[in-house]
Amino acid sequence: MPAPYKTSETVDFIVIGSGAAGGGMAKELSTAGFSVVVLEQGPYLKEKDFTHDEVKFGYHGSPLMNSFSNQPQTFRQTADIPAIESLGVGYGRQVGGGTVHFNANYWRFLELDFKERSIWGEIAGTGFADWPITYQDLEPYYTKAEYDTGVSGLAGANPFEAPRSKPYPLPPMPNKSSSVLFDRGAKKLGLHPFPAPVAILSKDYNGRVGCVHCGYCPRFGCEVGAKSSSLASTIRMAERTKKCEVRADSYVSRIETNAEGRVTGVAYFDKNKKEQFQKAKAVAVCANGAETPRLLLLSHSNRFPNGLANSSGVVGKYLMFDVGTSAHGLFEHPLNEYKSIDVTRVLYDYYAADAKRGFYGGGGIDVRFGFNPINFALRGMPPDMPSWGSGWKKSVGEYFTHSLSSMSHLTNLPQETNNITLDPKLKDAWGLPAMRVTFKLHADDKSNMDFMVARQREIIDAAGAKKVWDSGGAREINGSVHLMGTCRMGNDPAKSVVDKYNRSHDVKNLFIVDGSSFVSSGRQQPTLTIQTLAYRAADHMIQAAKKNEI
Amino acid sequence: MNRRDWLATSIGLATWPQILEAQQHAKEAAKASTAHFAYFDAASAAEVEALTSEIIPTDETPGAKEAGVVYFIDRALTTFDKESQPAYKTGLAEIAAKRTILFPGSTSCVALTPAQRVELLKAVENTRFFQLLRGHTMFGFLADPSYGGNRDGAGYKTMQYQPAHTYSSPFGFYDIAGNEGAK
Repeated sequence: MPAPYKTSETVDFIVIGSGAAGGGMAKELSTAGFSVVVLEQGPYLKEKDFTHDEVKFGYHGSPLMNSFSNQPQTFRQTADIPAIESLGVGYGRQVGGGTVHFNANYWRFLELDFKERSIWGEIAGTGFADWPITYQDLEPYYTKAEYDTGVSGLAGANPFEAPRSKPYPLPPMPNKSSSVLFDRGAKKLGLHPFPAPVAILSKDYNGRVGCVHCGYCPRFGCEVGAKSSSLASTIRMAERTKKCEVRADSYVSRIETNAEGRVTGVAYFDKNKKEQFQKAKAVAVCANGAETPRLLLLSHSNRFPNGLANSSGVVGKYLMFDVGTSAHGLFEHPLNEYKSIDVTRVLYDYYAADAKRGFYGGGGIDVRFGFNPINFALRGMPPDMPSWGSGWKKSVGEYFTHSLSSMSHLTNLPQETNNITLDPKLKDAWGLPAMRVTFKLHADDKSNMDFMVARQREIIDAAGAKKVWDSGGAREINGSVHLMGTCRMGNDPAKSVVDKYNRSHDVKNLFIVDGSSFVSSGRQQPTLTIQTLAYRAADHMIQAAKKNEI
Repeated sequence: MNRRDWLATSIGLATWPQILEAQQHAKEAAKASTAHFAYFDAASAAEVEALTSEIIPTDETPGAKEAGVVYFIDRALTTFDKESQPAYKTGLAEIAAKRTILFPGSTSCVALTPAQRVELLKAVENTRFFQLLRGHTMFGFLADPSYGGNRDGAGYKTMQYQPAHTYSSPFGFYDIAGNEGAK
């Protein structure tokens, strides 16, 4: 452990947040020799804290998620209706952020994701736009992220994938019954399934042990460290440099600026709710697509009356969520999908939007299970089956062991009216204005949901399921754990918050990197791209710092 | 369940220290020679046991009763789900009121026949309290036995779940070599 830095000491960089972006940023900056303090609002948990206790970790109130009792939020679909207290935005809240409890889907974006506005054209009423960077700009950083983190997959297996400079660092995970059945159904339909790329170690790697197939990826932390969270990978790499201090239980309330409009440091509440101030030469905000804009709005000042880095007025706007649909199938023989990793196969045949469908939208389709015993008992049975009593008890075991699910991961159009703002009344447990979420799907997002759930049903049916059901097509969603778009990247300072290297247009020594940087949603699974953006931004921060240009 | 709707499921806004406290209580209770209730009086405990035993009945395999679900609920209501106490007070009263309408002259759920209890529960199936009770019953049936329910892994048997927590390939039938094309 490095000696902790003093708050009075001016460190080179503060990184706010320790998830995919914050972990990657901390690793890169500290490896380059800079002094780094990572401020994480949640606790520093370790592998020994991660058990399979579904009561503790499975539901809200989970120690791996933001606390809705201390950090309430409000939600409304549109600005003309009152926002009500709601549990919309969820994110990881401990060292490692969302990568601790995530499913570990680690998809690269395709080339088209960065230039889809040019490919498709304008969509009225939206902020649909190209990114100021291309896939090729990110490719070296994608590769570096995959190798630092530890990703299992099979290069070349997906005919739609963008060019890669290197194969995956680890072979794909072993097949499950869902892999075999999804392959069968998809291939029968002429589709192209491939092994899911996952940030989970299929074998020992970089001093870490391989997956033991416990079946508790989604919602749980990995007790052996085989899930490649930033906690298990980049954060530890950062700490090993002895230049990086991870300061947990530090809830940032404000980024401070001086008369010249430069960031001077960060105010935060420590574990005892006592206010502290850490001085720094520069700050990287990696606090997620909802907390990042909230923090910038909270950091308003005379010089920045609309919030820090917000001369464009775009901070908090163009919020995008993880849109998707689910379908399910029951099979003749046991699958035991509760064992091992969750997602086993993916296909990109419907990834690109196609005008013939009559709407804009596309997506990836996966096969997974997604259940542990309690949540299956609560909500795993199809709607035509009893949910309690004798009929439930006689059938639930068969459904638990003989069924699988599929999820689609869909585009979500950026709309200015979908946003994060500060609630005018509600406060959190620290007395700061709560987050207010405004979100309503675009009509094309909904058409895409109807289209995709039908494709999922076809695949499961073709796989030979004796029964197929789904969880519905188009419907409004009022929450998300993939939080994107709220500090979008762009070349025009009047229309975007950060430049193509994630530097704030307004504040030279302020960098913003996480899902908030996204210009479009991709097809969800944003985590690898979030980490990759952090690597690319860090590279330019390091070069600029060495030249004294921050 | 998927990542979007898991946020929507709740057994109250428990915090971690409260859950640890609950486990501690459960362990201490398990040590005691005679099980006692911390929240329910004997009559309410018997009513809750009678109702949860129809949500997960006993047949060839153990149900909510044998799993000790009522003990799980009692611990939950005095530790990490204290906020559901009022819901139990009013919910049990609502069920009692419905019972006297459906079965005039009946004195308790315990005294009803199993078929009558099922009829009663069907009549309240869409109430918030029934959903809470159902949720608690499922949790008590399947939560780690250290919470006081799921005795002898009763819930795991119903789910056909093997709680080994580490597994190796093949995991199911279709990933056994040679079964790729099987029905």
